[in-house]
Amino acid sequence: MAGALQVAQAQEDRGNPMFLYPIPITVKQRPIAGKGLLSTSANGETILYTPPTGISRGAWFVTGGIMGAGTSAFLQVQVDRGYINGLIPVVGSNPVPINGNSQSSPPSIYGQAKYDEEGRAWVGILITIDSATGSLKNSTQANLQASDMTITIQTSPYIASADGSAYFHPIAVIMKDGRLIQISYFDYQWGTFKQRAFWRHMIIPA
Amino acid sequence: MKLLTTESQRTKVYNMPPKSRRPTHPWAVNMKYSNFTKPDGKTTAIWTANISPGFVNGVDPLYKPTNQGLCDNPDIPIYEVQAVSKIPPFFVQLGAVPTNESTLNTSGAALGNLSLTTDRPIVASGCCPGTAGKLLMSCQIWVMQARATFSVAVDIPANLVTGDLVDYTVTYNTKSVDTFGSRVRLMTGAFMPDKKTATLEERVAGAYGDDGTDSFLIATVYFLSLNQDDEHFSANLDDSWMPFVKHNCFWNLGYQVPNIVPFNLQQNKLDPFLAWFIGRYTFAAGVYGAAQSAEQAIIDAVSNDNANAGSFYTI
Repeated sequence: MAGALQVAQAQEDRGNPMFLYPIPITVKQRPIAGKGLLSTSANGETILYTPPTGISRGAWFVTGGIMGAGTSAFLQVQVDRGYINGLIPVVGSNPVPINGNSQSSPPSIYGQAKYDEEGRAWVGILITIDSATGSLKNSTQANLQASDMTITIQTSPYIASADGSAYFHPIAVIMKDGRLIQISYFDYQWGTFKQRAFWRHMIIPA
Repeated sequence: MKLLTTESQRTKVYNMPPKSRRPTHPWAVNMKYSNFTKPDGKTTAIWTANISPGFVNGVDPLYKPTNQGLCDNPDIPIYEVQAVSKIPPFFVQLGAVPTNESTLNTSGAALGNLSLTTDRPIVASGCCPGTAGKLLMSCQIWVMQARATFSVAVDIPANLVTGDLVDYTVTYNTKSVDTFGSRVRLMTGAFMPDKKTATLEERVAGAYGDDGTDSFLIATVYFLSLNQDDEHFSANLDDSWMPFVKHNCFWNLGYQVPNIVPFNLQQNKLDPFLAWFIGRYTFAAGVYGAAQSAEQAIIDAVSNDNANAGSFYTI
Protein backbone atom coordinates (compact mmCIF):
# COMPACT_ATOMS: atom_id res chain seq x y z
CA MET A 1 0.00 0.00 0.00
CA ALA A 2 2.91 2.32 -0.63
CA GLY A 3 0.78 4.37 -2.95
CA ALA A 4 -1.72 5.11 -0.27
CA LEU A 5 1.01 6.04 2.12
CA GLN A 6 2.45 8.38 -0.43
CA VAL A 7 -0.94 9.98 -0.94
CA ALA A 8 -1.34 10.42 2.77
CA GLN A 9 2.18 11.76 3.08
CA ALA A 10 1.55 14.20 0.26
CA GLN A 11 -1.51 15.45 2.06
CA GLU A 12 0.48 15.85 5.24
CA ASP A 13 3.17 17.74 3.37
CA ARG A 14 0.61 20.22 2.16
CA GLY A 15 -0.28 20.88 5.73
CA ASN A 16 -3.65 19.29 5.36
CA PRO A 17 -4.46 17.00 8.27
CA MET A 18 -7.36 15.57 6.30
CA PHE A 19 -5.91 12.07 6.35
CA LEU A 20 -4.72 11.05 9.75
CA TYR A 21 -3.93 7.50 8.66
CA PRO A 22 -3.33 5.92 5.25
CA ILE A 23 -6.43 5.31 3.25
CA PRO A 24 -6.25 2.28 0.98
CA ILE A 25 -6.52 2.98 -2.71
CA THR A 26 -10.20 2.93 -3.38
CA VAL A 27 -11.67 0.69 -6.00
CA LYS A 28 -15.25 1.08 -4.88
CA GLN A 29 -17.13 3.74 -3.00
CA ARG A 30 -20.71 3.82 -1.94
CA PRO A 31 -22.68 6.24 0.15
CA ILE A 32 -24.42 4.98 3.24
CA ALA A 33 -27.26 6.24 5.34
CA GLY A 34 -25.97 9.03 7.51
CA LYS A 35 -22.64 10.68 6.97
CA GLY A 36 -19.71 9.32 5.04
CA LEU A 37 -18.73 6.92 2.30
CA LEU A 38 -17.79 3.26 2.50
CA SER A 39 -14.52 2.88 0.61
CA THR A 40 -13.35 -0.57 -0.37
CA SER A 41 -9.80 -1.32 -1.51
CA ALA A 42 -8.57 -3.97 -3.91
CA ASN A 43 -7.75 -6.35 -1.11
CA GLY A 44 -11.21 -5.99 0.37
CA GLU A 45 -10.33 -3.61 3.17
CA THR A 46 -13.32 -1.35 3.80
CA ILE A 47 -13.35 1.81 5.81
CA LEU A 48 -15.90 4.48 6.56
CA TYR A 49 -14.54 7.72 5.24
CA THR A 50 -16.13 11.09 5.89
CA PRO A 51 -14.91 13.63 3.38
CA PRO A 52 -14.71 17.19 4.66
CA THR A 53 -17.67 19.22 3.59
CA GLY A 54 -17.84 22.86 2.66
CA ILE A 55 -19.39 25.19 5.18
CA SER A 56 -22.79 26.38 3.99
CA ARG A 57 -23.05 30.12 3.75
CA GLY A 58 -26.82 29.92 3.79
CA ALA A 59 -29.18 31.90 1.62
CA TRP A 60 -28.91 35.62 0.86
CA PHE A 61 -25.14 35.67 1.38
CA VAL A 62 -24.11 39.28 0.79
CA THR A 63 -20.71 40.26 -0.55
CA GLY A 64 -19.36 43.69 -1.40
CA GLY A 65 -19.61 46.84 0.61
CA ILE A 66 -18.26 50.35 0.30
CA MET A 67 -16.61 51.14 -3.03
CA GLY A 68 -14.58 54.25 -3.76
CA ALA A 69 -13.76 56.83 -1.14
CA GLY A 70 -14.72 60.29 -0.02
CA THR A 71 -17.44 61.98 -1.97
CA SER A 72 -17.28 59.41 -4.73
CA ALA A 73 -17.97 56.49 -2.37
CA PHE A 74 -20.94 54.28 -3.09
CA LEU A 75 -22.30 50.94 -1.93
CA GLN A 76 -22.19 47.91 -4.16
CA VAL A 77 -23.24 44.40 -3.17
CA GLN A 78 -24.06 41.09 -4.72
CA VAL A 79 -26.49 38.75 -3.03
CA ASP A 80 -26.36 34.99 -3.33
CA ARG A 81 -29.48 33.01 -4.12
CA GLY A 82 -32.38 33.06 -1.70
CA TYR A 83 -36.03 32.17 -2.08
CA ILE A 84 -39.24 33.78 -0.88
CA ASN A 85 -42.24 31.56 -1.51
CA GLY A 86 -40.09 29.81 -4.12
CA LEU A 87 -39.28 33.06 -5.94
CA ILE A 88 -35.84 34.62 -6.35
CA PRO A 89 -35.92 38.44 -6.25
CA VAL A 90 -34.95 40.18 -9.48
CA VAL A 91 -32.96 43.31 -10.21
CA GLY A 92 -33.26 45.89 -12.98
CA SER A 93 -35.80 46.92 -15.58
CA ASN A 94 -34.83 43.87 -17.59
CA PRO A 95 -35.30 41.58 -14.62
CA VAL A 96 -32.35 39.35 -13.73
CA PRO A 97 -32.55 37.05 -10.69
CA ILE A 98 -30.03 37.98 -8.01
CA ASN A 99 -28.04 34.81 -8.69
CA GLY A 100 -27.97 35.48 -12.42
CA ASN A 101 -29.37 33.39 -15.24
CA SER A 102 -28.21 31.89 -18.51
CA GLN A 103 -27.98 35.33 -20.12
CA SER A 104 -26.58 37.41 -17.27
CA SER A 105 -24.10 37.08 -14.45
CA PRO A 106 -25.31 37.87 -10.93
CA PRO A 107 -26.23 41.56 -10.94
CA SER A 108 -24.76 44.14 -8.59
CA ILE A 109 -27.02 46.23 -6.43
CA TYR A 110 -25.95 49.82 -5.91
CA GLY A 111 -26.76 52.36 -3.25
CA GLN A 112 -25.60 55.75 -2.09
CA ALA A 113 -23.00 55.83 0.68
CA LYS A 114 -25.52 57.17 3.16
CA TYR A 115 -26.00 55.86 6.66
CA ASP A 116 -28.23 56.43 9.65
CA GLU A 117 -26.97 58.36 12.67
CA GLU A 118 -25.12 55.27 13.95
CA GLY A 119 -23.39 54.61 10.65
CA ARG A 120 -25.51 51.74 9.40
CA ALA A 121 -27.03 50.99 6.01
CA TRP A 122 -29.27 48.02 5.35
CA VAL A 123 -29.34 45.66 2.40
CA GLY A 124 -32.73 44.06 2.19
CA ILE A 125 -35.52 42.51 0.20
CA LEU A 126 -38.14 45.01 -0.95
CA ILE A 127 -41.53 43.47 -1.57
CA THR A 128 -44.31 45.54 -3.11
CA ILE A 129 -47.80 44.11 -3.14
CA ASP A 130 -51.01 45.02 -4.89
CA SER A 131 -52.77 46.95 -2.14
CA ALA A 132 -56.15 45.70 -3.33
CA THR A 133 -55.40 42.00 -3.11
CA GLY A 134 -52.45 41.86 -0.73
CA SER A 135 -50.46 39.65 -3.07
CA LEU A 136 -47.78 40.17 -5.72
CA LYS A 137 -48.89 41.51 -9.09
CA ASN A 138 -46.61 39.04 -10.81
CA SER A 139 -46.22 35.86 -8.86
CA THR A 140 -44.21 33.54 -11.08
CA GLN A 141 -40.46 33.60 -11.53
CA ALA A 142 -40.88 34.06 -15.28
CA ASN A 143 -42.84 37.31 -15.05
CA LEU A 144 -41.53 38.60 -11.71
CA GLN A 145 -40.53 42.27 -11.93
CA ALA A 146 -38.25 44.38 -9.78
CA SER A 147 -41.36 46.34 -8.83
CA ASP A 148 -42.63 43.17 -7.14
CA MET A 149 -39.60 41.80 -5.34
CA THR A 150 -36.09 43.17 -5.50
CA ILE A 151 -33.02 43.96 -3.39
CA THR A 152 -32.36 47.53 -2.28
CA ILE A 153 -30.01 49.42 0.03
CA GLN A 154 -31.44 52.02 2.40
CA THR A 155 -30.64 53.83 5.63
CA SER A 156 -33.44 52.28 7.67
CA PRO A 157 -34.43 48.69 8.49
CA TYR A 158 -38.05 49.59 7.73
CA ILE A 159 -39.91 51.21 4.90
CA ALA A 160 -42.73 53.64 5.46
CA SER A 161 -45.89 52.90 3.55
CA ALA A 162 -49.36 54.34 4.13
CA ASP A 163 -51.24 51.13 3.49
CA GLY A 164 -48.50 48.57 4.12
CA SER A 165 -48.12 47.77 0.44
CA ALA A 166 -44.31 47.97 0.67
CA TYR A 167 -42.30 45.74 2.95
CA PHE A 168 -38.54 45.72 3.56
CA HIS A 169 -36.84 42.70 5.08
CA PRO A 170 -33.20 43.37 6.05
CA ILE A 171 -30.65 40.73 5.06
CA ALA A 172 -27.38 42.48 5.92
CA VAL A 173 -25.95 45.61 7.48
CA ILE A 174 -23.13 47.67 6.00
CA MET A 175 -21.34 49.66 8.66
CA LYS A 176 -19.78 52.99 7.84
CA ASP A 177 -16.39 51.62 8.93
CA GLY A 178 -16.61 49.03 6.15
CA ARG A 179 -17.86 45.97 8.02
CA LEU A 180 -20.60 43.90 6.44
CA ILE A 181 -22.68 41.86 8.86
CA GLN A 182 -25.03 39.17 7.59
CA ILE A 183 -28.52 39.06 9.12
CA SER A 184 -30.53 36.53 7.10
CA TYR A 185 -29.50 32.93 6.52
CA PHE A 186 -32.69 31.15 5.48
CA ASP A 187 -35.10 30.94 2.58
CA TYR A 188 -38.45 32.39 3.53
CA GLN A 189 -42.15 31.88 3.49
CA TRP A 190 -44.01 35.14 3.36
CA GLY A 191 -47.62 36.19 3.57
CA THR A 192 -49.82 39.19 4.25
CA PHE A 193 -52.95 39.81 6.25
CA LYS A 194 -55.08 42.90 6.55
CA GLN A 195 -55.48 44.72 9.81
CA ARG A 196 -57.71 47.79 9.76
CA ALA A 197 -56.98 48.77 6.14
CA PHE A 198 -53.26 48.16 6.67
CA TRP A 199 -51.42 45.23 5.19
CA ARG A 200 -49.16 43.45 7.65
CA HIS A 201 -46.45 41.09 6.50
CA MET A 202 -45.27 37.89 8.15
CA ILE A 203 -42.01 36.28 7.11
CA ILE A 204 -40.62 33.07 8.58
CA PRO A 205 -37.92 30.61 7.53
CA ALA A 206 -39.17 28.15 4.94
CA MET B 1 -10.09 44.36 43.50
CA LYS B 2 -6.46 44.24 42.44
CA LEU B 3 -5.55 45.34 38.96
CA LEU B 4 -4.01 43.03 36.45
CA THR B 5 -0.46 44.02 35.64
CA THR B 6 1.28 41.70 33.21
CA GLU B 7 0.22 41.46 29.59
CA SER B 8 -0.84 37.86 29.94
CA GLN B 9 -2.88 38.77 32.96
CA ARG B 10 -4.45 41.81 31.41
CA THR B 11 -6.43 39.99 28.81
CA LYS B 12 -7.44 36.56 29.90
CA VAL B 13 -9.83 35.23 27.34
CA TYR B 14 -11.80 32.05 27.78
CA ASN B 15 -14.07 30.13 25.45
CA MET B 16 -12.36 31.77 22.53
CA PRO B 17 -10.71 29.46 20.00
CA PRO B 18 -8.46 30.96 17.33
CA LYS B 19 -10.19 33.55 15.21
CA SER B 20 -10.84 31.35 12.21
CA ARG B 21 -12.61 28.83 14.39
CA ARG B 22 -14.61 31.21 16.53
CA PRO B 23 -18.30 30.55 16.69
CA THR B 24 -19.78 32.89 14.19
CA HIS B 25 -23.47 32.57 14.84
CA PRO B 26 -25.32 35.69 15.94
CA TRP B 27 -25.38 36.27 19.70
CA ALA B 28 -22.21 34.20 20.28
CA VAL B 29 -20.95 35.20 23.73
CA ASN B 30 -17.23 35.40 24.54
CA MET B 31 -16.19 35.99 28.12
CA LYS B 32 -13.11 37.98 28.99
CA TYR B 33 -11.44 38.92 32.27
CA SER B 34 -9.60 42.17 31.82
CA ASN B 35 -9.16 45.67 33.11
CA PHE B 36 -12.35 47.62 32.60
CA THR B 37 -12.74 51.38 32.84
CA LYS B 38 -16.00 52.30 34.46
CA PRO B 39 -18.02 55.40 33.62
CA ASP B 40 -16.53 57.20 36.63
CA GLY B 41 -13.05 56.74 35.19
CA LYS B 42 -11.89 54.11 37.67
CA THR B 43 -10.31 50.98 36.30
CA THR B 44 -10.94 47.59 37.77
CA ALA B 45 -10.43 44.01 36.70
CA ILE B 46 -13.75 42.42 35.91
CA TRP B 47 -15.45 39.78 33.78
CA THR B 48 -16.91 41.22 30.60
CA ALA B 49 -18.98 39.66 27.85
CA ASN B 50 -18.39 40.36 24.19
CA ILE B 51 -21.32 39.38 21.99
CA SER B 52 -21.32 38.80 18.23
CA PRO B 53 -23.86 41.12 16.61
CA GLY B 54 -27.39 39.81 16.64
CA PHE B 55 -30.46 41.50 15.23
CA VAL B 56 -34.13 41.84 16.09
CA ASN B 57 -36.14 42.97 13.06
CA GLY B 58 -32.86 43.98 11.47
CA VAL B 59 -31.82 46.23 14.36
CA ASP B 60 -28.92 45.45 16.68
CA PRO B 61 -29.95 45.85 20.33
CA LEU B 62 -28.86 48.92 22.21
CA TYR B 63 -26.62 48.49 25.25
CA LYS B 64 -27.80 51.51 27.17
CA PRO B 65 -24.98 52.06 29.72
CA THR B 66 -22.58 52.89 26.89
CA ASN B 67 -25.21 53.87 24.29
CA GLN B 68 -23.72 51.40 21.84
CA GLY B 69 -25.40 48.96 19.53
CA LEU B 70 -24.13 45.38 19.39
CA CYS B 71 -22.53 46.22 16.03
CA ASP B 72 -20.27 48.63 17.92
CA ASN B 73 -18.83 45.67 19.82
CA PRO B 74 -19.30 46.92 23.39
CA ASP B 75 -17.63 45.20 26.32
CA ILE B 76 -20.48 44.34 28.63
CA PRO B 77 -19.41 44.13 32.28
CA ILE B 78 -20.88 41.45 34.48
CA TYR B 79 -22.09 43.30 37.55
CA GLU B 80 -24.67 40.89 38.89
CA VAL B 81 -24.57 37.18 39.48
CA GLN B 82 -26.53 34.85 41.65
CA ALA B 83 -25.73 31.58 43.32
CA VAL B 84 -27.23 28.63 41.46
CA SER B 85 -29.56 26.70 43.70
CA LYS B 86 -30.35 23.84 41.33
CA ILE B 87 -27.04 22.82 39.83
CA PRO B 88 -27.15 21.37 36.29
CA PRO B 89 -25.75 17.81 36.02
CA PHE B 90 -22.86 19.06 33.89
CA PHE B 91 -21.53 21.08 36.82
CA VAL B 92 -22.28 18.36 39.34
CA GLN B 93 -19.86 16.23 37.32
CA LEU B 94 -17.28 19.01 37.61
CA GLY B 95 -17.65 19.06 41.37
CA ALA B 96 -20.01 21.97 41.97
CA VAL B 97 -21.86 21.95 45.26
CA PRO B 98 -24.92 24.00 46.18
CA THR B 99 -24.31 27.16 48.11
CA ASN B 100 -26.20 27.86 51.25
CA GLU B 101 -29.82 28.20 50.21
CA SER B 102 -30.44 31.06 52.60
CA THR B 103 -28.09 33.32 50.69
CA LEU B 104 -30.44 33.25 47.70
CA ASN B 105 -33.13 35.05 49.60
CA THR B 106 -31.03 37.86 50.91
CA SER B 107 -30.79 41.29 49.40
CA GLY B 108 -28.91 42.14 46.25
CA ALA B 109 -26.00 43.40 48.29
CA ALA B 110 -25.49 40.00 49.85
CA LEU B 111 -25.69 38.42 46.42
CA GLY B 112 -22.72 40.52 45.47
CA ASN B 113 -23.95 43.17 43.07
CA LEU B 114 -21.13 45.44 42.03
CA SER B 115 -22.16 49.04 41.78
CA LEU B 116 -20.93 51.14 38.90
CA THR B 117 -19.37 53.58 41.33
CA THR B 118 -17.84 51.34 43.99
CA ASP B 119 -15.00 48.89 43.92
CA ARG B 120 -16.75 46.32 46.01
CA PRO B 121 -16.09 42.96 44.36
CA ILE B 122 -18.65 40.32 43.61
CA VAL B 123 -18.35 37.83 46.46
CA ALA B 124 -19.80 34.39 46.59
CA SER B 125 -21.53 34.83 49.89
CA GLY B 126 -22.47 31.18 50.19
CA CYS B 127 -18.91 29.90 50.27
CA CYS B 128 -17.54 27.98 53.20
CA PRO B 129 -13.73 28.18 53.07
CA GLY B 130 -12.02 25.00 54.07
CA THR B 131 -14.75 22.71 52.75
CA ALA B 132 -14.61 20.68 49.57
CA GLY B 133 -16.52 21.39 46.42
CA LYS B 134 -16.71 24.18 43.87
CA LEU B 135 -19.13 27.08 43.87
CA LEU B 136 -21.35 27.92 40.94
CA MET B 137 -22.80 31.32 40.09
CA SER B 138 -24.64 32.51 37.04
CA CYS B 139 -25.85 35.57 35.20
CA GLN B 140 -28.10 35.96 32.19
CA ILE B 141 -28.10 38.02 29.02
CA TRP B 142 -31.37 38.78 27.26
CA VAL B 143 -33.00 41.14 24.79
CA MET B 144 -35.97 43.23 25.81
CA GLN B 145 -38.45 45.07 23.61
CA ALA B 146 -40.82 47.68 25.00
CA ARG B 147 -44.29 48.04 23.48
CA ALA B 148 -47.68 49.53 24.13
CA THR B 149 -50.16 47.83 26.39
CA PHE B 150 -53.86 48.29 26.83
CA SER B 151 -55.48 50.18 29.62
CA VAL B 152 -59.08 49.26 30.31
CA ALA B 153 -61.49 51.46 32.24
CA VAL B 154 -64.77 49.88 33.27
CA ASP B 155 -68.02 51.68 33.95
CA ILE B 156 -71.11 49.84 35.13
CA PRO B 157 -74.30 51.78 34.36
CA ALA B 158 -76.34 48.59 34.96
CA ASN B 159 -79.19 49.99 32.91
CA LEU B 160 -81.51 47.05 32.46
CA VAL B 161 -83.92 49.05 30.31
CA THR B 162 -81.46 49.86 27.53
CA GLY B 163 -79.29 46.82 28.08
CA ASP B 164 -76.28 49.10 28.74
CA LEU B 165 -74.86 47.11 31.59
CA VAL B 166 -71.08 47.47 31.35
CA ASP B 167 -69.04 49.99 29.34
CA TYR B 168 -65.35 49.65 28.63
CA THR B 169 -62.92 52.31 27.55
CA VAL B 170 -59.84 50.72 26.04
CA THR B 171 -56.80 52.91 25.37
CA TYR B 172 -53.14 52.47 24.59
CA ASN B 173 -50.65 52.84 27.38
CA THR B 174 -47.12 53.62 26.23
CA LYS B 175 -45.40 53.95 29.58
CA SER B 176 -42.80 51.27 28.94
CA VAL B 177 -42.04 52.65 25.46
CA ASP B 178 -41.54 56.08 27.01
CA THR B 179 -39.18 54.56 29.55
CA PHE B 180 -37.16 52.19 27.39
CA GLY B 181 -37.60 53.61 23.89
CA SER B 182 -38.74 51.74 20.85
CA ARG B 183 -35.35 50.19 20.07
CA VAL B 184 -34.70 46.70 21.35
CA ARG B 185 -32.38 46.62 24.39
CA LEU B 186 -29.66 44.26 25.48
CA MET B 187 -29.97 43.52 29.18
CA THR B 188 -27.76 41.70 31.66
CA GLY B 189 -28.45 40.73 35.20
CA ALA B 190 -28.42 37.93 37.70
CA PHE B 191 -31.51 36.48 36.02
CA MET B 192 -34.08 37.45 33.42
CA PRO B 193 -37.14 38.64 35.36
CA ASP B 194 -40.28 36.62 35.02
CA LYS B 195 -43.00 38.20 32.99
CA LYS B 196 -45.07 40.52 35.13
CA THR B 197 -48.76 40.18 34.50
CA ALA B 198 -51.64 42.10 35.94
CA THR B 199 -54.26 40.21 37.88
CA LEU B 200 -57.85 40.12 36.69
CA GLU B 201 -58.81 42.56 39.44
CA GLU B 202 -56.10 44.99 38.31
CA ARG B 203 -57.22 44.78 34.70
CA VAL B 204 -60.86 45.34 35.60
CA ALA B 205 -59.83 48.34 37.67
CA GLY B 206 -58.14 49.80 34.60
CA ALA B 207 -54.60 48.59 35.17
CA TYR B 208 -52.37 47.90 32.22
CA GLY B 209 -52.49 44.58 30.45
CA ASP B 210 -49.00 43.74 31.65
CA ASP B 211 -45.67 45.49 32.17
CA GLY B 212 -45.32 46.37 28.48
CA THR B 213 -42.08 44.52 27.76
CA ASP B 214 -41.22 41.28 26.01
CA SER B 215 -37.94 39.51 26.73
CA PHE B 216 -36.03 36.69 25.10
CA LEU B 217 -33.11 34.89 26.74
CA ILE B 218 -29.86 35.00 24.77
CA ALA B 219 -27.50 33.09 27.06
CA THR B 220 -26.80 32.02 30.60
CA VAL B 221 -23.20 32.41 31.78
CA TYR B 222 -22.08 30.13 34.58
CA PHE B 223 -19.02 30.81 36.70
CA LEU B 224 -17.36 27.85 38.41
CA SER B 225 -14.89 28.46 41.22
CA LEU B 226 -11.88 26.46 42.25
CA ASN B 227 -12.32 23.92 44.99
CA GLN B 228 -12.95 25.74 48.22
CA ASP B 229 -10.05 23.93 49.89
CA ASP B 230 -7.71 24.92 47.08
CA GLU B 231 -5.04 27.36 48.20
CA HIS B 232 -5.80 29.58 45.18
CA PHE B 233 -9.54 29.62 45.85
CA SER B 234 -11.04 33.08 45.84
CA ALA B 235 -14.52 33.99 46.95
CA ASN B 236 -14.31 37.04 44.71
CA LEU B 237 -15.53 36.53 41.18
CA ASP B 238 -12.11 36.89 39.59
CA ASP B 239 -10.02 35.05 37.03
CA SER B 240 -9.72 31.99 39.25
CA TRP B 241 -13.33 31.29 38.26
CA MET B 242 -14.01 29.57 34.93
CA PRO B 243 -16.90 30.86 32.79
CA PHE B 244 -19.18 28.55 30.78
CA VAL B 245 -21.63 29.99 28.26
CA LYS B 246 -24.93 28.23 27.64
CA HIS B 247 -26.46 29.76 24.53
CA ASN B 248 -30.21 29.88 24.20
CA CYS B 249 -30.41 31.68 20.87
CA PHE B 250 -28.39 30.99 17.72
CA TRP B 251 -30.17 32.97 15.02
CA ASN B 252 -31.35 36.48 14.43
CA LEU B 253 -34.85 37.27 15.54
CA GLY B 254 -38.02 38.82 14.30
CA TYR B 255 -40.54 40.43 16.59
CA GLN B 256 -44.21 41.22 16.07
CA VAL B 257 -46.85 42.77 18.27
CA PRO B 258 -50.58 42.25 17.56
CA ASN B 259 -51.46 45.93 18.26
CA ILE B 260 -55.11 45.14 17.75
CA VAL B 261 -56.88 47.80 19.76
CA PRO B 262 -60.27 46.64 20.96
CA PHE B 263 -63.18 48.81 19.89
CA ASN B 264 -64.81 50.90 22.54
CA LEU B 265 -68.26 49.62 21.82
CA GLN B 266 -71.10 49.76 24.28
CA GLN B 267 -73.02 46.62 24.84
CA ASN B 268 -76.41 48.17 24.27
CA LYS B 269 -75.64 47.62 20.58
CA LEU B 270 -76.05 43.95 21.21
CA ASP B 271 -79.02 41.76 21.06
CA PRO B 272 -80.87 42.42 24.37
CA PHE B 273 -80.64 38.81 25.45
CA LEU B 274 -76.91 38.69 24.70
CA ALA B 275 -76.39 41.96 26.54
CA TRP B 276 -78.07 40.54 29.57
CA PHE B 277 -76.02 37.41 29.20
CA ILE B 278 -72.72 39.31 28.98
CA GLY B 279 -73.74 41.58 31.80
CA ARG B 280 -74.14 38.59 33.96
CA TYR B 281 -70.99 36.77 32.92
CA THR B 282 -68.71 39.49 31.68
CA PHE B 283 -65.38 37.86 32.37
CA ALA B 284 -66.00 34.27 31.36
CA ALA B 285 -64.61 34.70 27.88
CA GLY B 286 -65.02 31.12 26.85
CA VAL B 287 -68.80 31.27 26.60
CA TYR B 288 -68.97 34.16 24.11
CA GLY B 289 -68.69 32.28 20.91
CA ALA B 290 -71.83 34.03 19.74
CA ALA B 291 -70.48 37.51 20.43
CA GLN B 292 -69.42 39.69 17.54
CA SER B 293 -65.71 40.10 16.97
CA ALA B 294 -65.53 43.62 18.38
CA GLU B 295 -67.15 42.56 21.60
CA GLN B 296 -64.92 39.54 21.66
CA ALA B 297 -61.87 41.81 21.39
CA ILE B 298 -63.04 43.84 24.37
CA ILE B 299 -63.55 40.72 26.37
CA ASP B 300 -60.10 39.53 25.32
CA ALA B 301 -58.54 42.78 26.49
CA VAL B 302 -60.17 42.37 29.85
CA SER B 303 -59.80 38.66 30.28
CA ASN B 304 -56.49 37.75 28.72
CA ASP B 305 -53.24 38.07 30.60
CA ASN B 306 -51.25 39.63 27.79
CA ALA B 307 -53.63 41.10 25.29
CA ASN B 308 -50.84 42.83 23.39
CA ALA B 309 -47.88 40.55 24.11
CA GLY B 310 -45.44 40.30 21.22
CA SER B 311 -43.57 37.25 19.98
CA PHE B 312 -39.95 36.65 19.11
CA TYR B 313 -39.20 34.18 16.34
CA THR B 314 -36.25 33.09 14.22
CA ILE B 315 -35.84 34.81 10.89
